[in-house]
Amino acid sequence: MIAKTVTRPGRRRSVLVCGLAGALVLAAALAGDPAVARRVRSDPGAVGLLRAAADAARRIPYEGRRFLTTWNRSRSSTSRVTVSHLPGEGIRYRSATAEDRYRPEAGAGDPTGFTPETLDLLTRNYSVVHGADAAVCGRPARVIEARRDDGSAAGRFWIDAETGLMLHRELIDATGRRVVAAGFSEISYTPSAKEPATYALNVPRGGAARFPASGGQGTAVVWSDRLDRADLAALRDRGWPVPKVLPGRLTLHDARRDAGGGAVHLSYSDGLAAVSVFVQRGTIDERALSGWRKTVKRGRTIFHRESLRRWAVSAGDGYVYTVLTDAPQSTADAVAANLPRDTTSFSTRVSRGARRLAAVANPFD
Amino acid sequence: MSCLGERLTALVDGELGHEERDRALAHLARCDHCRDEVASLRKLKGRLRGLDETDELPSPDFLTRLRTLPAAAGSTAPGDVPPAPAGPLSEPLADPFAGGAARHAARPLRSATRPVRPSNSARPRDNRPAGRAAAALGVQPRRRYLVMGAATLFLGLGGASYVVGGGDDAPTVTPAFDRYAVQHALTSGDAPMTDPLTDPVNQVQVSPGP
Repeated sequence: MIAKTVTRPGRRRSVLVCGLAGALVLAAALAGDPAVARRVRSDPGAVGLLRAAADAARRIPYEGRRFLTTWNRSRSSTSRVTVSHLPGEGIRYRSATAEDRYRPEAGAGDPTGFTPETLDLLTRNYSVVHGADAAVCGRPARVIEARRDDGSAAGRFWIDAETGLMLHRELIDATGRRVVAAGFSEISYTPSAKEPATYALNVPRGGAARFPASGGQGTAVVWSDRLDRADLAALRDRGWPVPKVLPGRLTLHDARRDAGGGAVHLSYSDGLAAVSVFVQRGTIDERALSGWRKTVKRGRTIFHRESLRRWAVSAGDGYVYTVLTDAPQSTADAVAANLPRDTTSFSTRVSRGARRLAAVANPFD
Repeated sequence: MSCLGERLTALVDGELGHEERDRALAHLARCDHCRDEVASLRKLKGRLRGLDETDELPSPDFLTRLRTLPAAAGSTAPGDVPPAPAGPLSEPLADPFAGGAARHAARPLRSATRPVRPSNSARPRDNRPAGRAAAALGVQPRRRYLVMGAATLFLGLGGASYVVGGGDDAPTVTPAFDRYAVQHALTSGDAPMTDPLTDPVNQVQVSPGP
């Protein structure tokens, strides 16, 4: 009897301690981002190489030819362009037939597409590890692989072992097929200094004239009006559809506004595949989309076009969405189908119709 | 309805001929239902008579005037229509706005020989003027038409608005595909060349896939 009364407080204390410990473990498990575990699996050295590649693209002068190839089930499309980069100046792109473009160093976004945000997304969604070294363009390269949870490769990057420049990258779908490949087909780190530094001024004008609405003068500059979190919140308050995430773990990492056109460019990424969604007010002018494939899925019309990149255009709620990605068409379609659709309420519709009827009937109009 | 029909009231009013009266009375001896009805009619008549000492029925002239009223009543304000059974004494009770003798003189239909009902109590309890009742009868279908018309108009306009309001107010737009392609390339780290979609001159080598 006495022994019992003595041991009881001790047992109670141990139960309390065990309970507390359990609660702490549970809280840590619930609060902790499940990606933390995955992030641990990423090789910090490999991630560091990717980060350095973005830096090298700005720092290192080079000249060469770039390509972008996309595959779908039946065919592949390739675009080739000659590039030359001068640090502190910019990159000049020349194509055999299209207008030349000049990408000034300042305000042209990141030349590799790797920003701290997309790198964060990459390590969150994939495990980034070193692969077996290889050679690209006759140069030894470090290979970095982004792997899915099941261990299959989703993306590969070839980084010049000497300069740290990204030479080649490719995306691989779940069945193991390449879907996008981009990079240099030739590269030289001793650019000929023949080109005048002000070559932006003698860019042929023909191309720009063909597209009067385009950036003009062949200068490719990212829309400078970058939208921060407060801007996005204000946009959402005004009814603009700005989803934070899209199907396929695509997360919004950058948003910019066109200075004149009234369009908003939302950049989504899962770390590997980049999906751009351009939102503008209006309804689709179907005449301008002749030649596009039109499908209606669950009451929603989507226009698709597959060329080098994959396009999908849909509309809803008074906004037109243009989805553009290098990833397979199914990604573009899924994104276009999941963007906000018409939510016009009955009363809104009736009052709008009444206004229109009144406008028609009004003789003083 | 009783078996005797009209003759029942005629019997009570003492308007039947000798033979008919005998036959009706013989029927009453057999039929409880008719007997009850006659009894209640008589009682009613007696009560009415008790209310009205003079026991006078409205003159035929008054009845014709009643028949002409609905048309007039429909067009005049309700307060203006207390024409009928009220004599000068009961007039204020029927309608405070009703005028005096001058007003009555102005009415051509009112007969000077019309018997006067001096007593207020002779009036039915519902002292609504007959004209007003007649007016209500005339207006009711009209009001029904009005309500139906309004409902149809409302539903029709609402339906039309719903149909017309289908599209969006926003103007039709064509996305600037070429600029979008460049923006996408710039942010995703590719060469910002125009997408061949919008630039047919740009050569894209299309080859069969692996």
